[in-house]
Amino acid sequence: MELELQWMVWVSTAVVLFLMAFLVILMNKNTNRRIRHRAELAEFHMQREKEVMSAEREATRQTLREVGQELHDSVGQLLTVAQMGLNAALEERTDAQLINSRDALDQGIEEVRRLSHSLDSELWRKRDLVDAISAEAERIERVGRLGVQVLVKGAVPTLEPETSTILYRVFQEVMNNALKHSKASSIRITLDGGPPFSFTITDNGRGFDVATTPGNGGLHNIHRRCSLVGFTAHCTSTPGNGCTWTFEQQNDHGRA
Amino acid sequence: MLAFVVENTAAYIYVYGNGNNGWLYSIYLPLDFILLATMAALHLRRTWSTTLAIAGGVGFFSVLVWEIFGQHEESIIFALSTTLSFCLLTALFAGLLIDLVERTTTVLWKDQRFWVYLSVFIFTGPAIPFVGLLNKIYKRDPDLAVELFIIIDVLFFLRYGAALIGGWLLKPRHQTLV
Repeated sequence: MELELQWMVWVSTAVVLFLMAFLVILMNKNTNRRIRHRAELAEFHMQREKEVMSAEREATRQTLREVGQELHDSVGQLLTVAQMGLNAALEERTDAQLINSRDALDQGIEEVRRLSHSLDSELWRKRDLVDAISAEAERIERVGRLGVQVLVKGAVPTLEPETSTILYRVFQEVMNNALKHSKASSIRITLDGGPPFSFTITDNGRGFDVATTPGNGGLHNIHRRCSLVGFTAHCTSTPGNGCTWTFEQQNDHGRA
Repeated sequence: MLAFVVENTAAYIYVYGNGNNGWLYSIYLPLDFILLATMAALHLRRTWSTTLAIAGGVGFFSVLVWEIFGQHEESIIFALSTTLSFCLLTALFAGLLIDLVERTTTVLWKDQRFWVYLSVFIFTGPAIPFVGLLNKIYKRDPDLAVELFIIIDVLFFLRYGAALIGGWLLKPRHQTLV
């Protein structure tokens, strides 16, 4: 009798322990599965965000290409006709006003040509990031009345087109912020081939306190876009001492 | 629900009746097995679970018939068929719990199915050694066997407690449109 009771107690204890261990394993599996599911969801959202951004970029590129084409074919043609008319008039009589008008028209045609080229993303794709940044710096210097210096150190690696596009948009955003808010008289852009590849944009404007400046959509956008293509974005600035943005490539992400 | 009614009726018979509620369990046991095994097989929809439920069912009823008509020794329950049915149900509900864990992405204890499956699993699993040896103990010491029924009472509370939590989680939640 005692033996049977003892046996029952032992077997019962073993069964209960086994069932408890089984439940603990189930709980552990459930936790792991939930963690994995969360990671998959985050990956899915990131992928979706990338897709949306890619579609948005594609749509913008298409629109800009059409605008550029229109500028080149329609406005450019009309201006060329006006230029030909002015040249014909100047052959008949030399007039200072006409000469000024023709010079202004020449400049206008050149601007339209440049603009249509800069809007043509296909053309943009043929250029690398350094060329694109240099051209944009040249344009900003011309229209913004401030000194823009581009410095290239070492061999800049060839990046994937998508990475270049996003970095170029980030560059444009930083430059736009500097032009709008910094009251800077000069901007220095340094591209360092690395490794790791990095580029910095430094202005001598009024600067701001990074810690206390409320984070707005623009700054957040810069960080988010950089992270999407495997770059880190870092902003250092203090009131009165300008601002420096540093973008650095992480590992080999984004290389072509 | 049916099990709950049976358990309470059995408790009532035990306290206010002649004390012998074994006949009620004997009637209810095959019904309980059919309901739970069918539920498990339908929920799992796997070859092994359907095979186990059908083959186990055939085995269970064969043993039960043998126990009813062939067993003439003094006994308190149909120990072999009950043990067999508890083993089968434990295996099937363990399968259901594993299947649930592989499918669900919510926290396990917030899923009503977990509590419903667990309610059967924690009742049938720990009860196996007890019902397996109950008749032997009863033959030697009937009073002790009746006293040991406290184990079933504890498992009874665990079972219906878990089922109650599952039912509670099933209640509709009010959702705002904003």
